[in-house]
Amino acid sequence: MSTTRDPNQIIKAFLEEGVNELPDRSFDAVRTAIDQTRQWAVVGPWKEPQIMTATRFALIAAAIAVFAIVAIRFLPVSNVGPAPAPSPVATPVPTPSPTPRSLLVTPNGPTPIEAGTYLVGDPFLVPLTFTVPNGWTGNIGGPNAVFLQKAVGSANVSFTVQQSLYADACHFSAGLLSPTPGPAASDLATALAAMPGLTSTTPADVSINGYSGKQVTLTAPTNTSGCDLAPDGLFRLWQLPLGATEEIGAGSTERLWVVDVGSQRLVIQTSEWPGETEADKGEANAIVGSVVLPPHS
Amino acid sequence: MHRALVERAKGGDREAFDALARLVGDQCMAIAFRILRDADRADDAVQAALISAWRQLRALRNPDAFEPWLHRILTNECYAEARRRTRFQAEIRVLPTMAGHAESTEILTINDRDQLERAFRRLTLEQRAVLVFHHYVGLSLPEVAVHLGIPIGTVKSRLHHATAALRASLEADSRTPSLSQERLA
Repeated sequence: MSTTRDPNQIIKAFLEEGVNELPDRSFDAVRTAIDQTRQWAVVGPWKEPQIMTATRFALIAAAIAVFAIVAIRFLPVSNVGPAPAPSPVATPVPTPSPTPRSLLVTPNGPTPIEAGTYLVGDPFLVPLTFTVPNGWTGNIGGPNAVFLQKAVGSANVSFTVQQSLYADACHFSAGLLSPTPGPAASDLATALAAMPGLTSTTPADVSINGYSGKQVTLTAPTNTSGCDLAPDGLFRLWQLPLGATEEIGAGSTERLWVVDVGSQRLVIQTSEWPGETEADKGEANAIVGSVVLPPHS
Repeated sequence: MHRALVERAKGGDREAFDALARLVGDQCMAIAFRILRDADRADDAVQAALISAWRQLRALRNPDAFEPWLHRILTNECYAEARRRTRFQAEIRVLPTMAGHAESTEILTINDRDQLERAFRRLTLEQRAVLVFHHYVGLSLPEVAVHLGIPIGTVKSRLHHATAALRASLEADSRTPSLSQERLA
């Protein structure tokens, strides 16, 4: 061969060769996966499109300040061994001594987090610890929610406060529930169990480290005909003050623990989506089972 | 171009995302194959990237930035796929199909192809990605920086080293008799 030929041209020609089409079966596989995968919630004031600029800046500044506080408090404090068996009532773990190790959690979306036990302080009135295995992401975008989601798959767990319930999960256009439920955990659990469009269990008494609450399980129907669902095609349950929402898909089950913690109602949530593996369900249940609140005085 | 579909998909419309995936899937496959040099790995990386894009789509604030945003996800999935497979898979070279050779036979000799394939596989994945987005996708260097989410200086550096390595392989080939020539001699 001759070296007088243009090497860039040869490199380009080399890169022109090869596979150029994604097989149809791969498109189909992606479609199947997204049918079983929900989009991650994004929490932040930018979801409020009508906010005036000055207010928007103030909210962003406030969100950053809160985020900084939460990020500092959301530090891994210890690593633990095998995940405990799932239990609706959290098993206490030894109080860890915080190890100041920074953890990048952004308000823009989920960030991978290392396996370990984490402490969440603000915005909750009392510190909450939980333990995650490898392969999970964390998303703290605002003062009202911590979302944990398996990096691959649909398994998820969340801790939220200040929920505003929708009136009818099957009819999104009905808007928010009015009047709002009373202030107690039992009020919220009762309202959730009564939400039209879903099948629910009777709220049962639970206690997490001395904090009383209710456990309720909601199941969405597989047939959505006749429903006027939210724009994302899901059954909308509630929204938080900064715009994050909670919803479940057709045929999914949502397990909720609503607990009175001081003047707040903490909701611990995990949902099972069709097609979710037993291993993923086990990991989500283990996270719920690892939740520890400090002893109730 | 895809703004309307992106907007609908951001709102949770699965049909819109499916249509979007079918519009961009082939290009993603072409890019992934050229970075990974393996059709199966590229297929897996593209599927993972599209599913990841669906999950993260609400975080995309500017629908017009969908393509570079998707390319960043795709490139990261290519890196992840390569790392996953190298843990347990022996290196097996996948030779390009003959059908794909017809277009560039006049420019690219069999020896060129063989030398470049070897040299390309010795490049880091990050260097390969820069080469692919610049020479194959046809992006300018500032555009490559946006699509890969890296500084322009890093793009230039990676491109320089990658191009030098490929040129060196071609020059070495020109100085060394090919195996087939030795056998004929």
